[in-house]
Amino acid sequence: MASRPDEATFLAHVEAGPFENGVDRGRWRLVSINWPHAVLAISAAERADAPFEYAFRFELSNYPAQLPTAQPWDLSTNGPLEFTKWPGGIDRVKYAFNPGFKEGTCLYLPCDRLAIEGHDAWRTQHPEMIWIAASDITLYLRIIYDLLHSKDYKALRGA
Amino acid sequence: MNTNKQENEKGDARELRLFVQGEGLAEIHIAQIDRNATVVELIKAVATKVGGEFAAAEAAGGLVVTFEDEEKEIFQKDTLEKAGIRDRSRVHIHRCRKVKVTVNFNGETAADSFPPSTMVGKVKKWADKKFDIDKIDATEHALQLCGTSTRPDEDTHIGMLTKHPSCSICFDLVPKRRVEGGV
Repeated sequence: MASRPDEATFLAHVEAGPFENGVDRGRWRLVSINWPHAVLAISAAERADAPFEYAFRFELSNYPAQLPTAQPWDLSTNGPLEFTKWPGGIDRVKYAFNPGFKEGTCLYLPCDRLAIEGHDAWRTQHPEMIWIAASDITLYLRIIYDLLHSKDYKALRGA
Repeated sequence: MNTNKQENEKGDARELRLFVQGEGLAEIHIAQIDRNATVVELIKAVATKVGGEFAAAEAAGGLVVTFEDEEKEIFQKDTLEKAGIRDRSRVHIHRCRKVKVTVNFNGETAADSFPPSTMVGKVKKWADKKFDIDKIDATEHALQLCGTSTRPDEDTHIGMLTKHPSCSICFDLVPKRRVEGGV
């Protein structure tokens, strides 16, 4: 039982149709919750010497009024994923999974709380990726899933 | 964790969890309903649970139930079990029998009709073929509702995007652009 409204809302969202649909399709899964953090794993397209999924630790304080922020996560160490093991690409993927941005503490995406700071132009350039109060976690998950199944996703960044 | 869900995962529960999409629903709805219920009772249960435009469509009459990506109507007096609806089945409920889809790309337009239970991803593949976009480059384009910035998920049934009696949708096929702007 959640003791905080933000956690209660998150739990309701992961029991709802959009999230469960993604679980049922094998797109993503909830790994753990230790509020205000939740670790979720998202499947990736098959690439040589690359994992079948990547985990991300989300910080979800004041969810969903406040945007989430997420960083690639290593399930084996329960810590940040080594930069060489981040997803790699040459265009969209390289920009989104950029360990050089804010020391690898978030993804370079308009739906990320840390990344959108100072990037107001994204609201008009990428409106489909903008988090609004009515959004749920599947908005962020779908954006990552799309990147990990794109032509641009090659393999590990360090490969 | 939801006990019913755990029981369903073992496959021995009387109650089914169904993924329902349809006319007037804002998102995929999970219906929890006894496997001995009829298809009509499923429709009424969803209407009671979600209300709004779906309930209005139910009250107006003429809703048809189909499986995802299928056109054949499920007989509504049948029980869910007899109709072949199993735990985690995906069904669609709509008054439109067909949805006219128009897709614009690079000044050209393609059009065809699909059952409302058709997934956006399937329409996207049709559009890719119509506009000769190869399989690899296809991942770099998305269907966006005309006049909006909304890009429905590939699992969304096109019936979720239109209502009776319009039964039509317009998409633009747009490139996915990288996010940049100074790091």
